[in-house]
Amino acid sequence: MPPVLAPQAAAIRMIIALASVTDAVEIEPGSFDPSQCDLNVKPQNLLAGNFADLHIVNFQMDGLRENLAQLCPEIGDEIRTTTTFPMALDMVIQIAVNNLSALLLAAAAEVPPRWSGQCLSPDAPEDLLPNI
Amino acid sequence: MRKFFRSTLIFSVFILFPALSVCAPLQGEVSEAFLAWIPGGNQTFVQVTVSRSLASAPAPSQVVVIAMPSATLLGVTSTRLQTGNDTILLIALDPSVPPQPDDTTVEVRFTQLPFTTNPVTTLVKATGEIYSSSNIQSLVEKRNKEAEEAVAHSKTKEERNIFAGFSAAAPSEGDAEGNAEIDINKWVSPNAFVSMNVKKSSAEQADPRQFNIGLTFRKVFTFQGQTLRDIRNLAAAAETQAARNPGDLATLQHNRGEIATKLNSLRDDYLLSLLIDASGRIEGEALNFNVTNAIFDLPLQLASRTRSLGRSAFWNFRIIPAGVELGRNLRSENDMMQKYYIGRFKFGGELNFIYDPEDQENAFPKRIELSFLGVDRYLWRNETAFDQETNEASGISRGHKPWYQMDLKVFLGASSQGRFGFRVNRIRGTLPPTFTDTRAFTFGAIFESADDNSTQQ
Repeated sequence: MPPVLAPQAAAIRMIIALASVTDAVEIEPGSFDPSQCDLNVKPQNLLAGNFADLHIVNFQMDGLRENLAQLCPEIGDEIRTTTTFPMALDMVIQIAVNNLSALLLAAAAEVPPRWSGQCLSPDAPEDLLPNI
Repeated sequence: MRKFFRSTLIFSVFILFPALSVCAPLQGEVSEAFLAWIPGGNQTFVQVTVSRSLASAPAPSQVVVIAMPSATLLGVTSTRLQTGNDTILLIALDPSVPPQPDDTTVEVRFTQLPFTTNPVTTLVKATGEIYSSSNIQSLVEKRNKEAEEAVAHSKTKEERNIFAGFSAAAPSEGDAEGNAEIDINKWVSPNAFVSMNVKKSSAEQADPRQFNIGLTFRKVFTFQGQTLRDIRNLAAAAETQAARNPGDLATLQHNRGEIATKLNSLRDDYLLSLLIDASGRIEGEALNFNVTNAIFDLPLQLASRTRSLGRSAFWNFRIIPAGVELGRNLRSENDMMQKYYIGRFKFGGELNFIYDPEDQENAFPKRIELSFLGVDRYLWRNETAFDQETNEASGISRGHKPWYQMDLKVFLGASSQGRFGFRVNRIRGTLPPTFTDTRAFTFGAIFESADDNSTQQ
């Protein structure tokens, strides 16, 4: 089975995080295949648009950031830090996905790698976060 | 063996690409290309960003990747479009044929690119950086800079660093005059941001006279953390299972069903997050600071998900169930009320509706946004208040001090330049520190440009 490439893992993680925030993102039931790291989503080209296009508003951006951090335990601290992971309502989502992908690549370059090409990474004991 | 493989590939290039030397390559169709080569993390790929939508990824046989300056031909194992963006092409490479140590750039050639409109069937060529473990931080810095620039150019009212809106204000009594609102927000650390906001009008009854500057620490709790962790664990188990027993389709289907149930449950939730803020701020009478207070503000906020109402409508809300403002007056126009202590309880909320029809071509209006915002402060202790008769903050106020705001944006039409329409805003109530009785309509034309969805009013 080929490893999952960082840009694809970043895209899937962002799409799931977006679906957790807004009904404007629809993941087709049963379409998420972790082994292929792929799913069917509407709108199909959502990462080329911005967050406001998906009817996300300002007071939801912190929740989106936290949910994305939950989906990326290897780089959760970087995502929670606004300076290393800037986001704004009307920035193109692909820019954030590119940033996410670069952070995953940097995590893959460490010795030993913090990330080794999983689509979604499992919980580690230190992932126990104080969230409700 | 490796030499044989490379020779074979080079041979195949000249067979497959006879036009290389006779056709001028198109380079404008590709806006970015780079190669990532990080064997420890199983990352060996090229990412290409094209200028238009692709109908599908070109076949591996239609792609050639060459590491430069050694001219090492790298094997293409598969190609795909990134999910969610059909302008991003991912090309997986054979990890057994790495670039040479001195290679710094990559050249990617396509014999055709199957764009959704006007597919290109002549040679397309692009070059870009090679990122390995030794220089991957430069890619991180580049992407971070791109994101920072995108945030800096962000112009949506609530999130942009600086927003200044000017519109006509019509008080319930009297003539229409000018109205100004400025909000500045800047994150200074992972959990803290500084903010400044001004609400000021030259019309008496439309003037909240509010100026705030402060530092806020924010803690975010999400209601979906456990579900997201469950999805991660199920997906990781499914990946492992698929790698060990790729033929066990029944288990794979079962795993996908379990993940689908969890993903669906995300949509059932109403609440998204709980925000706890702790902020210190100076609030003053804009623009003269005749009344100035130092305030410690501790509000709780519950933020909802964006829920759908049918196919074309959406709604979301935010509730402030409780908040406390404690502080001390620093300056007052009332000689009998100087350096007094301040204690307020507040609650409130915000409700937003969005009508965004799917058929944008034929829809009228193109989009409607309606928002209601309200907050009620209960003043435990006397505070100075603006007196309309003396025209100064010499009055005394106590008890309930509500503030309501309604905002309606209607986009009537659209062109290639963007959407246009009008905005109506109704404000009513009082805001600290002067608690001036405010009642006004503001109205104005609105234009939302198509390039970056920035809003100009």
